[in-house]
Amino acid sequence: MQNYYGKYELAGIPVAVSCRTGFIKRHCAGFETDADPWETFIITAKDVEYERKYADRPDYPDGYLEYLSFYRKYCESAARDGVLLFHSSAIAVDGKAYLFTAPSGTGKSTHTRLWREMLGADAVMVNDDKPLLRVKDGGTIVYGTPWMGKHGLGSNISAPVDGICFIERSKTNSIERIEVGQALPVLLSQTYRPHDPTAMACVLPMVAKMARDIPVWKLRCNISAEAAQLSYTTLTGKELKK
Amino acid sequence: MKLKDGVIITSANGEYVAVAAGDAGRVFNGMIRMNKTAAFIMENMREDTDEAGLVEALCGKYDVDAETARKNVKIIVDRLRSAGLIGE
Repeated sequence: MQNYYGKYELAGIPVAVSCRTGFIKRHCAGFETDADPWETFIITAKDVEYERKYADRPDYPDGYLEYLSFYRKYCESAARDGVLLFHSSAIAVDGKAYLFTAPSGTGKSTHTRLWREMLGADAVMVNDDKPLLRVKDGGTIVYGTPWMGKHGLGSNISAPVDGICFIERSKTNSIERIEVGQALPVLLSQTYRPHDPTAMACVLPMVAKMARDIPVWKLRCNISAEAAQLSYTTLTGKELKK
Repeated sequence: MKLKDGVIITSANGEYVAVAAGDAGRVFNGMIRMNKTAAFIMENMREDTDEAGLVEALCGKYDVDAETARKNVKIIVDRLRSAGLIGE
């Protein structure tokens, strides 16, 4: 029994979802649209079981698994329209966005929190965990999504991406540019890979384009204001306002 | 032997990367980083071939002796086979 039907706009693409629980309605609030959907995703009991099989815990409620399934279906479909999911914490400053990425647990969210503490109201979270990127000639745009990580940080905004920073933990702080060829596998490791080969064939050239077009950095850092200052001044090319 | 469907290769600045989607993605969810020569060998495995055929293609394309070509082909074929990306 499908009890819920909702229409959402994600990275500029209007879609509809049909499912059993009200979890998506609660957790996708702020992204609703009246526009006609390009596609409707019907989430069945089979989809929920599929998500349960691949989830990191066996005891998630069905509603949460529907919410994961919705995003998976969206990403499989949106790849053909030039949109991919890039696992990162995305923050916008002065109209430009910076993406911090790393394997889970490394401290992406911690680092963007340091930026917010340093910059105050000048820094706005786009999405703390799973933003969408639209990769095109003339630049890549990051979009906020309802899938924003355990702290629920993010908003329904978009901004051009001005830099991507791969984080590694270290006692001391240092930063270096990653050259284009090396950036490709690094970016790919944090990109959602569609199961569908046609969709994957769309994603791969987008990641290569990102590697060519966007400055990619490697930051070795600890948890300190100094670490945030170093990444801010390097990525933005600006001095910190006093 | 033939590369399985769903293996996709891309490049940026001389660095090549292959990933697998679809059924091939079920057996291999990593990524293979390689150089241009290895990517050329993989592309030649889209059609049914054997190691001798790949050596011939490699020698036709690049200025390389047969022995070196044979070694390189074997390394790549072994790697792809262990990743489960070759249909025999």
